[in-house]
Amino acid sequence: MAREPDDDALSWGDENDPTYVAAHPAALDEDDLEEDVPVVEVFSSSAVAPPLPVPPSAEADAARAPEPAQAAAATSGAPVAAGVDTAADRDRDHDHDRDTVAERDADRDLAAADRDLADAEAETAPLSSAGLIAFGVFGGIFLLYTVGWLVTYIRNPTDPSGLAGIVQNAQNVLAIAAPALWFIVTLLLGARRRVPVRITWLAIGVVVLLPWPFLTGY
Amino acid sequence: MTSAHPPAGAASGAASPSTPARASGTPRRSRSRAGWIVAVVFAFLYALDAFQGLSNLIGLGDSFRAVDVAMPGNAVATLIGLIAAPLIVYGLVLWGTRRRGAGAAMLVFLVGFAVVAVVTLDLQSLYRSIVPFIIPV
Repeated sequence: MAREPDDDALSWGDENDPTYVAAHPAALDEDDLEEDVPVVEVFSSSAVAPPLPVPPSAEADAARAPEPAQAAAATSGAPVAAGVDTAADRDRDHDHDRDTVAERDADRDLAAADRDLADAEAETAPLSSAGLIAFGVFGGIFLLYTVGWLVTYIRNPTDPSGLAGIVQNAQNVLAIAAPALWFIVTLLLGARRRVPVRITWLAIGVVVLLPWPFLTGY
Repeated sequence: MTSAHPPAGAASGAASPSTPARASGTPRRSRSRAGWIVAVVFAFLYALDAFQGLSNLIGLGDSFRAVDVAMPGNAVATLIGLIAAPLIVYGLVLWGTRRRGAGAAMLVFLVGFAVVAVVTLDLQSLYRSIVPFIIPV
């Protein structure tokens, strides 16, 4: 069907426009969006445009005024022409369905790719300033705890003789190393976890590893 | 609508249980053989701590009985805590590392062992604050 200049007045540029060409936003950059590029002109033919719901008025026009070629065929061999037309319609419908399914698949693939990208970015995202400061604060607290347990060990020397003495001495040494161990292992094993989860585990460590003998003096 | 746009889990559902996903850090289903070896080795170490607590409870109980004095209830609680702490921490670590690899489990068992040491020293300090004297045998 020939395209007339008056058609431009009827193209209102949204999805209900029969001449609307759906294009992926990523395919257009800002220049394309600003300029009235001839892309629309080139692909505005109904054969190339993606399947869109045809407005009822257009369908009615088509039914009322058939193409001249079809009208001629109707006078000469009506049944055959009608059969061919139906088959062509079926093919077109089939293509329409296939296009819709392909579009859905493409949309789904795009969404999945976006999700994968977001996950990967979240995993490899650099630590925020607040997270870094929080880890630093907890590191400082654990360092103080280490000093506290060291002072406790110096205050209460144990005689490492016999099984009980060896175990007691080992416990004293382990208590000195406990804050550092907790801090390192939390950051090591929680590297893939979210920052609040790691901070929660560090806070639990601050409560559990409190150098009680150092604070009470007993 | 739902079939056209499946949720995130359904979209990648076919690929998620495969081996590459596990290699990238997804928790495994159960403890490996090496993980069980780590658990058994650390069981002996934790048992040493529990044995030390038990010997404390028996020895100090004998000391109090020798001078015919009843041990304060709080002191008994701390001595029982000395036995219970390694068992509780071991159970928590065993449960917490059930889907971890052997290396990660070893690290967590080590931290748990250090936590047992800290709790033991805390309880001993608490006991000394309750019973601030040593009964001569």
